[in-house]
Amino acid sequence: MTGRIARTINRLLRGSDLTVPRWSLHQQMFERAVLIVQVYYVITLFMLYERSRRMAGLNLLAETLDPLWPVAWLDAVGLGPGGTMLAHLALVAGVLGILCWHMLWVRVLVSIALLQFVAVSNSFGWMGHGFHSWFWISVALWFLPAGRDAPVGATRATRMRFLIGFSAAPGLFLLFYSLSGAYKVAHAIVGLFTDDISGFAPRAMATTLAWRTFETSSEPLWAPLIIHNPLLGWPLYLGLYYVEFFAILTLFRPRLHKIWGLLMIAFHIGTFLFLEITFPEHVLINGLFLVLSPFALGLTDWRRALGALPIIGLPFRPVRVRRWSLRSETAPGSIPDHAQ
Amino acid sequence: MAAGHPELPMRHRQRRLKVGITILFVIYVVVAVAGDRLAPRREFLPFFSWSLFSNIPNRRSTFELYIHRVNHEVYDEPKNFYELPEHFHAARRRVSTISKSVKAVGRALAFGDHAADRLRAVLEDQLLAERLSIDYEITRVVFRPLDRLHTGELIRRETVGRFVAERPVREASQ
Repeated sequence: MTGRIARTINRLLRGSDLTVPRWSLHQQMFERAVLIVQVYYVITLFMLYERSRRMAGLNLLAETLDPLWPVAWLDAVGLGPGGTMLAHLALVAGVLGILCWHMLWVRVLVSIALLQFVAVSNSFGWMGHGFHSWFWISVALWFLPAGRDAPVGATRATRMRFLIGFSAAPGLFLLFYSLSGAYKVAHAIVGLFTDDISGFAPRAMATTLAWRTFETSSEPLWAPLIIHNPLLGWPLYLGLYYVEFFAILTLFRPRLHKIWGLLMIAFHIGTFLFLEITFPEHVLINGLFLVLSPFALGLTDWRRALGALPIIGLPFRPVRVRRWSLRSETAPGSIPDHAQ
Repeated sequence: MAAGHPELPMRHRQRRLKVGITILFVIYVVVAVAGDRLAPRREFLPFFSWSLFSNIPNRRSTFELYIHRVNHEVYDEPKNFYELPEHFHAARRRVSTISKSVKAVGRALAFGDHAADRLRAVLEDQLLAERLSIDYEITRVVFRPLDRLHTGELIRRETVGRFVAERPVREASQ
């Protein structure tokens, strides 16, 4: 009974994308995942290094803070000495991160340093969320196997555990998008029965953009196009709801990783063009963990990708699902470029 | 997280890892949703709900910053902060952090939050520190976004607090 329920859930999550195990590509997947983790820690060092300068001059940036709980200790030590300590923590954690990321305590230290910066940058009386995801990726990477063998992947068991642990990072990130989508859909449904404007309504995007212009007194490059032609924004908004709401499902459908990463990057380009809001860290995360996803290696058949789309892919699903093989995905004798 | 325990069979360790990841996801969702409803800043840091632009009210209610006087320059009608870029660098930056700060102070004032004084001090330090003396108010405005954009119409406008920010001569630009 339990097994049947598990199989049903598995089938719902994965749709027709029954393409694993792809044993022949696990070594390449593992190597790609290790490289992505290394790049993540290099960029983390860059970010911590860049912020350490501002932290060293924290007492010049502000006289008064409204410190959030992770940096409540700044009240006791003062902004001058506190900023100096934060700058040193950033540099030490950042350098250790690129050298010893395979050690769990180093990954935890990096997370602590990132959390300090999330807290400081939100202690000026407002909350911003661009850096939250970068911090949470560092937490997700705690699930990677620890020890010197981890980056080498000496055994198949280590490689598998590494890939499962690694999947927590894109999983958590996709969960954020699904949460965002779930809130939008819930409010849109409520809006159908109240005085509010439903997110499904044709003028939803135009109204949102108009409101945003008063928040910042800004004039986003493409906002007037939608404000004066609300119908143009309708399919864009509905598409956004779909892509966000079903994001977490794509974790279990690796064929969609690359396309979802590109869609999310397009979405963030859109938030700049229509709202003048940028999420550079999110673009990086989508590029690293979805567009370059190790789990998508060897999955090149666009027709199967179409069938893997949540709900709208149903008509395109094959009646009989075949197990994955390199030959079934590519022309005879060829190996996909990105799988080499 | 998954270190050690070589005696455990591979499949069991993989399952344990998957359960651990699932628990993290569930905890995240529960705390984030709770924070969205219960936390003063709509978030138990760092568990953010990612509810962004979810609600699209027909009538939007928010707080804005209006200036009555900058040093000796008195305005007949209070000016929106963004209309004074010549006085305030922040007004030229057009970033949402300004409105977020103003909303935080406005909410605290409107609901009698004890953090209002501290939030106001941070706002004055971050946005208004370039001038010696500024007479300003935090205003609650209610409007229909598209109507206000096309006609400038406000449904309602009420002052929730009026203050004077004073700076020592050596710290301000003028």
